Amino acid sequence: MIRLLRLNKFPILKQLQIEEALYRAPNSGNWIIINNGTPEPIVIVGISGRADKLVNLDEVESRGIQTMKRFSGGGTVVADENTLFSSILLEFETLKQLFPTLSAISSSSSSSTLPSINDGNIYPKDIMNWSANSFYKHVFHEQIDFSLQENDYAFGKLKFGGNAQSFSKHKFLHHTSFLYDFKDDHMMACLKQPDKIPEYRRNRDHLSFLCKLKDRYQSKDHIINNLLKTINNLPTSPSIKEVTLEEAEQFLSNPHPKSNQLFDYNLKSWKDITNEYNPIKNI
Amino acid sequence: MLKTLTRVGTQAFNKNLFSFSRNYCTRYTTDHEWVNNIGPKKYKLGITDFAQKQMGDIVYIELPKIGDSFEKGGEMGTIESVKAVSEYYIPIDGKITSANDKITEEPEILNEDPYGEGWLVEFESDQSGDFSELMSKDQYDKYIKDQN
Repeated sequence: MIRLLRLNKFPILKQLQIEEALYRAPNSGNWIIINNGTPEPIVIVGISGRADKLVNLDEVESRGIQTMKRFSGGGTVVADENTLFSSILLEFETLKQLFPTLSAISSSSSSSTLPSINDGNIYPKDIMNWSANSFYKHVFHEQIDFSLQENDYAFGKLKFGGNAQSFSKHKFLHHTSFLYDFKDDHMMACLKQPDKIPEYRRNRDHLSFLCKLKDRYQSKDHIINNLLKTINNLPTSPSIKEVTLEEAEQFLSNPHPKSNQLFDYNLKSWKDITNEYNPIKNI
Repeated sequence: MLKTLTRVGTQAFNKNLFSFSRNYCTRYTTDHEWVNNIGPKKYKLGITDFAQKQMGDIVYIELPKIGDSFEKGGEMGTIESVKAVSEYYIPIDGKITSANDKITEEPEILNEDPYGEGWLVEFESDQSGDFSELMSKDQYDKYIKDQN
């Protein structure tokens, strides 16, 4: 069974807290989470992100925008109400049942032979290739130039979606932020050019490197409907159960390491998130 | 004195022989870690060349703290590459005695020299039996071959 959680304008900070709880809980099962935007703009860096190297902190602070560090890796994004979030958390055994063979999948980015995922371990590049060629390719089926460029979802050489993966012994999390629209000004002003960039980016600045889904789709609902169709058409027709936010929130009470953090502009350092999901403990 | 020297010399020889042979006793896990027995109840751990290739460029490593104890199979930390954040595990019960801080500053060392400068941690453990049950080099090479 795969649990489907649909959210609308749900704060991505809280979504990531839930995702971390689901990821770290031993028997949380399989989940797909779709969130149609986050209510306030927020800068999100990956687990190893050095805020000072990736973010124009003074600028971000002056605009009243929070900066957070998520528990997964990957790059930096300015997310807002026009960012579409899609997260897939699957047990490896479930993925093997859904896709017992990779024979139909061609890798556009890897020259190595892919192992059959029915025999042996699954590796990050396998998930990247699977997500692009067996999942999101169908979501964006109208776009003939959809491709996986290194680790980004792109139309041609223009990135429209960034993703991050986390791997544990028995499951993986693959979550993506799709840029339906974004404020050009935020992107240019808030984010620095990272030291390490994918080769296909060729030193282009953010606006020359990114594209907006709104230029290809009239509404976010269209994309969300494509996502839902793809989920419902997964091979072997697994049972998909739409669940409530409360069912996901239950996993927050499992003791687990909490790696999502917020940047404190005064102290110039990361601090633990304190909110209703992680209240201050009374001493 | 000659007898003493002989006894001491023999002891020293045996100790060196022990160290020599044990330094070359490396075992491997199905999670693609290597574990080297570097002395009585002392072990050093890293990830294999196969693992670092699967990960791609490594950009960040989270190490456990000295003094942390882990049960067999416990997660010690994470390694982030451009493709993913992956966990690594302790294969036998142990307590961390040293962590390779250099690789947190220069994570690329893990790609460049996974068996040498790219070691992750040293730990102490009483579980030599569990260590012996890990894969030998030949078994690990076969394991990788079977994966592909």
